[in-house]
Amino acid sequence: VIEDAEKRAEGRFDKIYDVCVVGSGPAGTTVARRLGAKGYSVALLEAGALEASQESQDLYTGSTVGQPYFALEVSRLRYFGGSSNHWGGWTYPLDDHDFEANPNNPLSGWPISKADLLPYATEADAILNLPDDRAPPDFFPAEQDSLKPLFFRFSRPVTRFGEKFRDELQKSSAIDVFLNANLVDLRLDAGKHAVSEAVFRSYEREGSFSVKARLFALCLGGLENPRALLNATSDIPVGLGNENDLVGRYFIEHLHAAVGRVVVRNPMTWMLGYGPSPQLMKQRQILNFGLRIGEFEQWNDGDFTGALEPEPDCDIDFDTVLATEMRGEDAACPALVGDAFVVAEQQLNPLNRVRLTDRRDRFGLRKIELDWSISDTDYRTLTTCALETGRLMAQHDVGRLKVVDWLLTGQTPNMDQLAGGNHHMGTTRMSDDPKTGVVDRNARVHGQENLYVGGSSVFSSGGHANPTYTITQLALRLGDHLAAKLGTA
Amino acid sequence: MLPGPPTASKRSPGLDHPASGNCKQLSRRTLLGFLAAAPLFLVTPTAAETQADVTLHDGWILRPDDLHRLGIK
Repeated sequence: VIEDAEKRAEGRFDKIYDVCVVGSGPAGTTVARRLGAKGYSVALLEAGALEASQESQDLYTGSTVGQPYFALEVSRLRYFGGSSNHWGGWTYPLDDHDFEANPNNPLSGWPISKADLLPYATEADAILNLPDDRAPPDFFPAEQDSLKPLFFRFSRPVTRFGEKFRDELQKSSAIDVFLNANLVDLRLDAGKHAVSEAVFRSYEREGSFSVKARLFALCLGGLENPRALLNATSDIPVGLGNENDLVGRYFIEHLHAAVGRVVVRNPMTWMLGYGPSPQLMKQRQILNFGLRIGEFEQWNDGDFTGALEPEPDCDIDFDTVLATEMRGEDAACPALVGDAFVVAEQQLNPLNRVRLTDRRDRFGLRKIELDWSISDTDYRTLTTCALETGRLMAQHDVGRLKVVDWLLTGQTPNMDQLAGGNHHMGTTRMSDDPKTGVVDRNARVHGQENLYVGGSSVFSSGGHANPTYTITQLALRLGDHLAAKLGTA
Repeated sequence: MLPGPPTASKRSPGLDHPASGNCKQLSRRTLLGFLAAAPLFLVTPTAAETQADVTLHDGWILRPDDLHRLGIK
């Protein structure tokens, strides 16, 4: 059922749930549904209502320092369904080598492998309304090429978790959804190694209310998961899971940048995607990336599925279009001109972090500051992507690429040239070693027996893949793990 | 540069939304306050990095015979 915490009956919370899931975005909703389907009782608490409100969104305000970044209150959404409500629907699974340590990215590598997530691929596809995977189209068919084709799949219609699963959750006898429930504290038992209750406030009613459960899962997003742990100081002054000062550190984004304009010999019918081979990454000392070649204005459309709409025919030959574009003039032949846009992995850096400030929100919780910078390795990855793509296009004579000026001249990029993608990752990273990660391979917070984290904050490293697909796989896996733990408790 | 999501205003009146597409944030208005100087970018590629089978000309990565064929000096 779905209830409003503003209208709560206090006795409702005498119940001890099997699992308390906080946050109703892709991770939280998926964990809750997985457990509910297995018959476990779940409390799913959402800080916002069914629709967006400024009152809720204002609780996401914070500050940023370093590389210019989006305003934090518009970089994620705080209502039923979470940030799936502004998701663009792009999906790609992490590559096999994303899970392995990359010497150019110290501390990278996951304690799990891609094989651990593959059992959840089919269900993730269904949740996210994805078409079947298939072989990608390719400019460069030679197998020895340094760039490998990628096939992006698009959630269409885009899965808005709140909309898609609202009826199911309303009818569920296993899952109780509480809206307008703002997490304000996590309290531990006497031994301080297990959460005994999660404490919430609604907007209008006085006082707090608590939810008790055997297990707890924080699924608040990559900025709020660390914030919640750092603000939970009732029993441990440094916050939960933060004994090694790691909560909030290693924030990573995906660098989004147009790296070039292309003139192609033949009109493209499908957006092309490319990533570096592991050999290229090693040779050039770079990180992973996902390049898109096509028409930017088309692929940014909410209905885009990968197919490019035909541009008007023109009778101008390739050489003439290229020469005209090289003179800086418009060749008036959009069918042969396009964009090269990259989404690149970012290097792990402990100084890139979410930290608490002394400013507090209406519930007394300390607000966050995001400190974000871009490394030379990050820039080298972008540059290599552009140069290698241009080289292969020329070598195979399928087109030519002009590298954007700021990459060639070393100019500082502005936010129209280089930005993140509202992909907040790494802030409670997964590692079996508490000295290098906040959660273990099962997403359990080190040092706490029954506290888990869902979402991209657990990513050990980011790869280039849009994160929602991996978030969904991980959430299904977390649901299974929690069920197994409950089953044997 | 990017259009907003077609359904955002319906769902969330009064809020600035990141776009659809690549989830890229779009509102210049909300970003104006954040355009402080970024760290200096030090990785400047050279033509040599593009390997010998291509050349770099005004940012264009070309085949060696392109300039002559296209009549560009």
